[in-house]
This record gives sequence, C-alpha cells and structure tokens, in this order.
Amino acid sequence: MADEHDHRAHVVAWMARATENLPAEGVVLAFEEGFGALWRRAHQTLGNVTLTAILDRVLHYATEKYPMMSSLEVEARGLRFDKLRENLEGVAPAQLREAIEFVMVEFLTVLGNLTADILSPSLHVELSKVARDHGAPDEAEAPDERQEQVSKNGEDARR
Amino acid sequence: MTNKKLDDTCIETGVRNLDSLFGAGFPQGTVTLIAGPPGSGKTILTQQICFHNASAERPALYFNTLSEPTAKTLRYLKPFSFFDPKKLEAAVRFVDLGILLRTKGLDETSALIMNRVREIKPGIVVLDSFKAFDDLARSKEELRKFAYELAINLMAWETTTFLLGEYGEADIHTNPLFSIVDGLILVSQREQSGEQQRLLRVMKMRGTNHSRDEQSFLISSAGVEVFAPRVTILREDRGPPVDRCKTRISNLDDLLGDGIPRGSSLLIGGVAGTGKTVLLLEFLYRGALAGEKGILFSFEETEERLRASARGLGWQLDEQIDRGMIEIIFIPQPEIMVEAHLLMIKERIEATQARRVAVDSVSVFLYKIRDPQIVREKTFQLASIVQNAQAVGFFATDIPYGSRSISRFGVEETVVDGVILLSLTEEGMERQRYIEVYKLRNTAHLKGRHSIIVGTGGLTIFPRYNVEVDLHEVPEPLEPSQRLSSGITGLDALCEGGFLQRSVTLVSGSAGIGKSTLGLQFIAEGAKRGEPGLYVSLEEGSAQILKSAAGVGLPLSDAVAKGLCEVLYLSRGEFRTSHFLTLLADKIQAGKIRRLVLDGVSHIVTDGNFPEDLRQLLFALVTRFKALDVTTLLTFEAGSMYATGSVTDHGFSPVADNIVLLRYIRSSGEDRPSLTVVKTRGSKHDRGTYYFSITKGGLEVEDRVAELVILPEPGLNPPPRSGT
Repeated sequence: MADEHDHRAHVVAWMARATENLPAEGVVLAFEEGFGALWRRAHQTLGNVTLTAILDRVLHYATEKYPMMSSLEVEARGLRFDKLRENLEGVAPAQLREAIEFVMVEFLTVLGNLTADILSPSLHVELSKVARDHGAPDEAEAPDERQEQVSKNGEDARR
Repeated sequence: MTNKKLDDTCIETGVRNLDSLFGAGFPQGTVTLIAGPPGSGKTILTQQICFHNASAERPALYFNTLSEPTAKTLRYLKPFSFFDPKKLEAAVRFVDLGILLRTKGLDETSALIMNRVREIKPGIVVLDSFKAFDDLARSKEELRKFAYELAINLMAWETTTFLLGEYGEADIHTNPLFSIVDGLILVSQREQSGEQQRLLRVMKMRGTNHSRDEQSFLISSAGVEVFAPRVTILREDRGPPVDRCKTRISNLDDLLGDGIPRGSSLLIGGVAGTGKTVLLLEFLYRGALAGEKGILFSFEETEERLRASARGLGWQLDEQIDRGMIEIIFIPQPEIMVEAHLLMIKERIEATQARRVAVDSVSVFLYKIRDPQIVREKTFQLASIVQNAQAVGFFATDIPYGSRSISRFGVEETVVDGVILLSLTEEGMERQRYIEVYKLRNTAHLKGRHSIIVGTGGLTIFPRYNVEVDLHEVPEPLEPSQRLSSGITGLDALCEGGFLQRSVTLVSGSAGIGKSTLGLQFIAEGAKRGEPGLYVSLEEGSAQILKSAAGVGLPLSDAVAKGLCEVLYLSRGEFRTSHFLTLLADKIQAGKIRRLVLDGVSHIVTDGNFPEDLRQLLFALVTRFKALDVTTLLTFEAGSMYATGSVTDHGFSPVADNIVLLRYIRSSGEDRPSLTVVKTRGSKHDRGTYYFSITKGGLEVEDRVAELVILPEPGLNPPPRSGT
C-alpha cells in the first residue's frame, strides 16, 4: 500500500519538473493543471460529494498551516484558483511551492486512506502525465524559454 | 494536519470481548449504526468506546439530539468505572443539538456538526440519537440525503462514527440509513434460557469477517461486558495427547489404563448420593498432594460445607487450600449466568494454572437451558476450556432416578472425552456403590462395574480385574527347580519336594478334616524360612485361628508378633466378593507376602453368586497372586466326607496347579482321614492315597492305603471299586 511518503515522492518529482525556477504565477498554473488532473481522475470514481468533502478537509488543514491557501475556493468542478492568483503579490515562490506540495500530498493521502489506495497508482500516473505534458525544461533549456512556455500554458488554461 | 496514514485500521473498543467479534478489532473510520429499543445499552456501549479511545489529540465528539439531555447523560455516566472525569471536555466533548434541531432543521444541524468536526478534529463522532433526524425529516428523500452527506463528510474526516437509534429489525428493509452505514449492531433485551438477557448482534460490518451470532452481554459498573463464548472459547488444536494424568485415587488408576490424557474432560454421572462430589473433591485433593493445582466450581455446596466434608473424610483439604493448591469457587444456583460464568471459569483456570478442574455440577450449571443443543454447546465450551489449559476436567452430572441415560440432559456425553458412572444398587439389606468407566477416549480402560466404598480416607475402589484379566495377565510358566515346602514332610515327598513357587494349590475336603491345619502348617513353614505369609480366613476370627494353631503345636502367634506372618479375618458381612482381590493384592504388596492361604474359598459363594462367578473370581485371584510372586493355597470345603466331586464338579480344577484331596476312607470299620495328590502341574507326583493324622506339630502323612474303597454318596448308586 502507498503511504504518505509514496505520495510525497510523486508530488515532489512532479513539482521538480513542473515548477522548478518558475515564478509564483507559473507555479500556480502548474498547480492548477496538476490538481485538475487528480480531480478529474478521482471524480470519475468517487463523485462530487465525496471529493468536495475530502477537499473541504484538505483545505481546512492547509489553511491552518498556510493561510494563503484560504484563497482557494471549493466548487463543484474542483478548485478555483482566481483569488489565489490575485493574492500572489509578496508571496515567495518557495513558500508557495511548499503550500502546494502540502495540498497535493494531503489530497492524495486522504484519498488513499479512504479508498485503501485503490486509486493511488492511477492518480500517480495522471500526475506524472501532467508533468510530462507540461514539459519540464531540459537542463540546457534557457530559463526565459521555460517562462515563455509556462505563460503560454496559463493562457491556454484560462481560455 | 492529517496527511499521515493512520497506523492501524482498527481501534480497541475497550469493551470486553467485543473486538473479537470483528476478528481483528473494530474497523476505524467506519460509520456504524447501533440500533435497539430504549434501555438496551446503546448509549453506555458507545460512551465506553469513547472514553476508552479519546485523547486530547484525538478527541471524541458526542452529539446529543432530542433524546436524552446532556445533563442526564453526564449524571448517569458517573457510576461507571470507564468514566474518567479528567477526559471530560479535554478528550470527550458533549454537544447538545437539541435547540438547534428544534429551531433550524437538518441542514443547519449538519453544518454545525461539520463545523465542530473541523474545529475539534475528532477521532470518534457519536450522534445520539439519530432517530431524531428521522422524525424531523420531511421525507425519506430528505433523510437519505442528509444521512448520505453527513456520512460522507464524516468519512472524509476519517472519524469513526456511531449513529445510535431506536430502530428495530423491521427498519432494516425500509430505512435508508441502513444502506448508508458501514456497520450495523443490534442490541436487545429478552428472556433466554430462563434469564432476562441483553443481547448483541453484529448484523453488518464492512471489511471484516465478523461473527453473525447473537451474543449475550452484561452491564455492570465496569460497563458493557460481552461474553461471546463462541468466539472467545475456541478449541485449540493441541495434537494427540502426550501427557497423562494419574488420579491417585485408590485403584481408580487401575481402571483408567495408562491414565487420563491431558486436556480431557470426563463426565462423572450418577444419581444423588452416589459419591460424585466426594470423587471430585478427592480428585483435586490427591492432585494437590502430588503437586498439581486444582480448582472446583461448585454450584451446589458452599466452600465451608465442602471443607467440612473433607475434614469428615480425614483429608487436610484446608491446608491445601491455604497453600494455594486448591481453589473453591461457589456460585449460588440463582446467580448462575452461563455465558458469564463460562468466561469466569476460563479466566480462573488460566490464572491459577490449574491442572485439575472440577465442576459440581454441569447439570445445575446448565439447568436453565431447555434446548439440548445449547446444553451440548456449553458442555463443549467447558471441555474446550479444559483442553486449551491442558488440564483434566471432572464434570459431575446428576442422572435422574430411574433413568437409563448417563447424563442429565442426554447430550453431554457426546462432547466429553470420557464418562465415569457411579451407581447405587440395593443388595439385600444394603446399598452397594459401584463405579464404571463407561468411556475414555484414546485409553484402554478396565470395563465393567467395580465396587466402591466411601469412608474415612475417601473412596476405596475394588476393581474386578477378572473382567479383562485374560487379556492382560497371562501367568508366566512355573519354574520346576523352585519349590516351597508345604511344611508337611510326607506331602512334600509326594510332590517332588514341595509346591512349585508361584503355584496354586487347592485343598479340598469336608469340614473338620484338616484343611485349615494344612494351611497353617504352610504358613508356619514359611515363617520359619523367612518367607512372609498371609493367612486369610473367611470363617473364623484371627484369635480363633491362632488358638487352633497353638492347639496343634504351631507357634503362629510368635511369628505374627515378629511380623513374619499375618492372620486376617474377612467377614462376609463387611467385605464383598468383588473386594477380595483388591484387598488381598494390596496386603500382598504391602507385606511383601510370599505365601498365602485363603481358607474357605467356598464361602465366597453367596446366595446370589453362581459357581461361574466364583470360578472367574478364583481364576482372577490366582492369576493376580502369581503375578505378585505369591505361592497360594486355597481350601475348599467339599460337601461330602468321602467323595471327590466338589472341586471338579464346579470346574475349579483348571484354576489350580495342584489339587490335594482330603477325604475319609472306611478302614477296619472306622473312617480314617486320607490325602491324595490328585494333580500337580509341571512336576511328577505320587498318585497314591495316604492316611494322615493330626498330631502335635500338625498334619502327618502316614501309610499308603492299600485298597481304596470309595463309599457311596447318599442317594447315589455305589461307584465302582478302584485300586490305587
């Protein structure tokens, strides 16, 4: 069975590829995509009511530890990130990454606990796909190019 | 923060034996409905679980709805030992939802519940009673939605939730709540086996292989105690028995073959007054003397009365109890609670490490149960307790007078390993007690009924070895080189120097002819040679025997005084036929006897005993004596002064190795005593008939009879003449 460390390992790996060296806005965008992938996969099996209840709990804990997470709003289709984007001013990217990592790990852990980890492998796969699709820049890739790519993805997502 | 997987998937309920109903324990994070009528124990059960589990880090949140006000809940909690006032508020928080429910309805109540959950982050949530939501819901659909969302929200918080409600089994099919919950426990109260019993049944518990049986439970100051013997008393597979128990009760072990296999339970059956309690007590007492701990569960006699009985039998039972070798637990009949006491029996046996267990009696212990199958099950559980402890159990059972069954309920014997029956029969003016090993698994035991006496010292058992003697005790052949002098020179000469060692000599003759004198000489000769002797008279007292010996110049009194021999009188009024063998065998072994005279074996025959019984007894006697390395002389009184028929007519001759016939012969107008060695086994002998006389010094063989004239028996034709 997967445990918190397994979930964390997957989340950390994903974040390393998806958010490294990105500014706060890019990190939120990656978070939105990553979380969206998890939500969609879990939603097929668990449905809205259960996922909302779980998310309610996850955000409750996240907000206690990272008050900036109170800007996230739970809705029937998952999370709304608008207010979080609006409140990013002055937020250090490292702190943001830590808060996002917490939410992602927490979400996977609670889901894993409640479903005896039946969904965990497929959720991990979904997350890794997002990371690949999102395209972590090569070592040789210039930071400006990476920023450009993230901005483009953000625009696509908003559209 | 909860992003950490819980260490275990189960919690301990803190309710005795409840966890075992679910296999590995109560599953954590489930929503369980505890349903039952008012007063059935739902609230106490749940509160006990809360107080056992709740901590400041992982509290319990207890919502009262519109059933019992929180103030009352708290007041009634106080007497229970599980209630810890320090945990109140810090770990167990009570929230009264009464006003909110009355005024705001289900949605706001649900929101308040979840707000409290977010705030406190409890490990356990209780809604007492959920039935209030049923009553407030405007439709089934609203109730279903409310229950569904609440269940999911609580699930998301991984709380272990208990919903309490006054529901019955009929609601299972109609109330939507029953399909939403993970677990369903029904509690109830009704009369069963003559007792008002609280009952609990796990109808559903997802993810577990739970027991589906109804289990009785008790509410005491300790809270709820579930008994669940079907789950808690399981027979362990111990493999074939390797160790056996010797009872150390007089000769009982001779009946029990190699002993009772450890882990066995034996039913001790008999009508009232047959000695069951004495047997049970002695079983424990002898065990304690040998260093084995014992425990008696008495449902009839108090400890004080049992101690007094033991004193009356001359036992130091008090001392063994004081030493902690024996424990007596008295449970008055009206207080018997079968399942509760089964567990108590289990725990006491384990705590005392008793190797001997007595239950007096199972018939009283189970008297309230009317269903034979339940009697069978409870007896099996009792036997399982004994087996798991590798002890030996003696369970008394009162057989009804006049019944042909071997137990009270007619089923107990099917689940125990052995049955010992005690019986009483009227014989003449007396009641005679018997013991019989009716059944003993894995053990070749001695069959048949054996006489017993209950008196000072306890039970004395007189085994009828003859029953199976032909199977086990085939006499060794006699050794021709080892002979014992009879004490009569002339007789020794007729038998190549004396009787073969370990041989049996039957001396037959009419009354007064000299059989006893011959026997006394045989014993006196042994005393002279340092071969201990035992003279057993069935007709005359010891003093008379010694006087008679002195009268013929045999110094037997001196030999007795020196311990070289013993004269024993066995009155037929005191000792029964079946006792002889045991009694004599004990004497022989104790006195290291080499020579034995049993004077007057014909007197063993009583009105009720047929010659076949006597023949069998004699065969058993001689076989046993030979096994004990004793040379035996039996005297048999012939009905006629002249004829030879008695011994052979009765078919006794095969019993004896030697037959010496004493009879009168008419000679010169007078009757003279004569002696003939009719038979010797394993040696040659002189077949002649010789006159003998009894002088100072005893019987003396004289001249050979030249021509033997056999005188006719009264009423018979004269026999043919025969020469010698």
